[in-house]
Amino acid sequence: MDLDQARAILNYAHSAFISMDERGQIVYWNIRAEEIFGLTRAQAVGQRLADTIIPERLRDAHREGLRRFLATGEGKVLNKRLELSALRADGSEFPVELTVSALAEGGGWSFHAFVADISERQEAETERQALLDEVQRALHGSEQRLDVIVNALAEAVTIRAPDDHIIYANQAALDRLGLTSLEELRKSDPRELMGPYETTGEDGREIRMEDLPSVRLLRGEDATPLMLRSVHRESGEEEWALLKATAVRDAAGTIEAAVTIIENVTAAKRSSLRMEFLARASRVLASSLDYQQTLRNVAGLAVPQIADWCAVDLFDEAGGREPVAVAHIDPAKLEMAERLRAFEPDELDPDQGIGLVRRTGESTLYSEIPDELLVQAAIDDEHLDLLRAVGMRAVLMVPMTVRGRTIGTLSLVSAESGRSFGQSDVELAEQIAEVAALAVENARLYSERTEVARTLQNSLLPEALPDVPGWEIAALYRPAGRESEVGGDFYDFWEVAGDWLMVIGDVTGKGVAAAAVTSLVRHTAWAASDFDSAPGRILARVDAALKRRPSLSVCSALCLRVSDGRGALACGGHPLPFRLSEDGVTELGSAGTLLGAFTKVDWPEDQFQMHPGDTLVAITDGVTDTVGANDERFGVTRLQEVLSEVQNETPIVIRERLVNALEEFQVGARADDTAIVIMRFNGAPAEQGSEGRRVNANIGV
Amino acid sequence: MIQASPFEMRSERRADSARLILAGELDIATAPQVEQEVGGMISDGVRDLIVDLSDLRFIDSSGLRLLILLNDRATAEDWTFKLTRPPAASLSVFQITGADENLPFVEEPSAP
Repeated sequence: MDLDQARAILNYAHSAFISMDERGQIVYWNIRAEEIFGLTRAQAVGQRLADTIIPERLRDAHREGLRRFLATGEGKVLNKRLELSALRADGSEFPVELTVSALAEGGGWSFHAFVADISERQEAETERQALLDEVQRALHGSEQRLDVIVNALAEAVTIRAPDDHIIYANQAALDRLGLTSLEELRKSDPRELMGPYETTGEDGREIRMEDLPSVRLLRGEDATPLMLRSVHRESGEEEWALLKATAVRDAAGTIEAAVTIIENVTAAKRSSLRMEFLARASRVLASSLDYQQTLRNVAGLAVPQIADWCAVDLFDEAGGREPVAVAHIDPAKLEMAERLRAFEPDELDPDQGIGLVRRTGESTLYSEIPDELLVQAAIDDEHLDLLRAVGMRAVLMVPMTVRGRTIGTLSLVSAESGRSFGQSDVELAEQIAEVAALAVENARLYSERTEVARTLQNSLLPEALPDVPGWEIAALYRPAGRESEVGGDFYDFWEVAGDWLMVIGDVTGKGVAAAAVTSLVRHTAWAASDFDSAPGRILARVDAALKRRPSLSVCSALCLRVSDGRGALACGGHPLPFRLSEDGVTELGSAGTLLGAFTKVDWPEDQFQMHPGDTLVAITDGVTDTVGANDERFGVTRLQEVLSEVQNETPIVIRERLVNALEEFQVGARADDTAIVIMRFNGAPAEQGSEGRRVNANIGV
Repeated sequence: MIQASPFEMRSERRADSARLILAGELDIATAPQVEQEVGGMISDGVRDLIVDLSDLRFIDSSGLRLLILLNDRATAEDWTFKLTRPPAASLSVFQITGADENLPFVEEPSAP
């Protein structure tokens, strides 16, 4: 492109463009120059520049400068931005900003200048200065030292003019903005002041200049205080500030300026965010015993407030690593984490990363991730590419420790947010890790306890219901709410000399202590039956055994013995069983003393006869005590009603109906264990048509 | 969650005598409160305790166990423990278990 082509373009440039030869004559003059100076190109070209647009008082300096440049090659005004006064055709002066450059052309020099009319800008600045002077006068007028005080304030104070320029800033405000003087500030474009920061509100949405309270005020909008988070794009430094703006009005009530007080609340905000996060994390961790899920939830809570990535790894006994959770605000990025996992070695390196944290039990903070570190950590090129793609800026790994044992790590990674991690982040992460570690440990203990409880409970119930000749049996045991506790209800069947004994009971209390008592009751009853299988005497033995225990051990029990259709039963403070027969639903037996509790004791024994099709139903009080709506208890009457509806059904059907009725009735969780035994007499085996039996029976008779 | 039982407890105290009035349901959920209350009364110098059961609508095995425990404790620690008769609604539990013959019930003229 030659000079002429360039000039053609320049002709329509936004700035005036003027060229001058080395004699000082105008050789080029664009359209914008015509507008600014009020002279046509025809009028201007060929004129001496000094005589055309330079005010008289500056002409000598101009000529001297030109002479010196041509003589020495030194030009003071060349290639820099100058603010000068210029002359219009009508003789008026106005401020311009210009840059001049010199070009060697055709054996001589030519000079070229871009010229911009800055009178509007200068007016605005003059106005701001006047306003500032006024503000300062006002400050000085009312209180001499106020200016000093404002300057000494820890809070940043700024005053913004209606054109959005900041016209005053105290020292703290200047420091915040990274400026050294008011002059510098006044010259700055107000938008550029926010440039180096990523600015967001509490909700994480971007804050633009229009959202600032002072700017809103000046626009006549409502200006509620604004909590602002700014992260320096380069340093990653994060700051929280609370901005409050007040309008300064003139006598007529017009807003002249907006004063903003900017309070650095980083420490307070971080600590409240932390408390909030910790509280939420603790709630989440306490909410469930499924620790894998809760750890995933906690990791989810950490992003994006605390970090861009959050991962939780647990170690197994063998030192292996189990990745439990990884969270990122953008689900698409999670796929990247999956791919990264594939590159991880089976054995942890005890000298770096998670392996180091596991070995030392100490937090590790990489506040910078230089590329060399990635290169060093990468297994191959693909791995390196992936590591680079994550764009890690800082990585913080803290141990999850329980009773001195490191059971896992919590890792926080800063990437696209550009934030850095400081000591306070380490402390926060350590606190979360501590709560998380405890939750994991509790969950593990709980599941172990549940396992123990299940095993223990199973040991207290028969492994399978026995096959009692002539009888069809169904039973049910439902523990109260928590499966980690051993309940106190039990039942058992065993055979003694051709007769069958059944015991159903309820040891008051729960847990291992109750399980021990239950075990004692069962073994005592078994042993006692070898000497005397009369139900009343079995209960007496159990009562005596319970009383030998050092602490109060109370048990209610029903003991019955059946031999074909004939039976005997005794009750020790236990609900009486029901017989479902042609006569309907009737209670069998009579009350006897609670076992292990009292000195005046009596276990009357009752004989009964079952006919084929008759059914016996024995329960524990968990059935009748079941709580329904309005605090009503299920009670004996309801039980009898349900039983009368199903009295001709099989034990299994009866059990189902009873369970359904209880579940329908029940409100809230079960407070007590429930045990049910249902025995239907189908007739003595001989009567059932078994040939062998009949022969035996005949011989026996 | 175990549903809260409708239960109320209040006490009257005169010198080293006290009357603990239990109303509503004494069960697995409310028994611990009573145990704690009585424990406090005894360590506070009560030597003569009457537990008023006249408004006791329901009692389960945990509630009954607590009354037995308190009776045993009174004997061991040498303070007196008495119970007033429960109403018909909860009386059957005491009868079924033999508690009516073994716990120290007192006959009282009903309050004016």
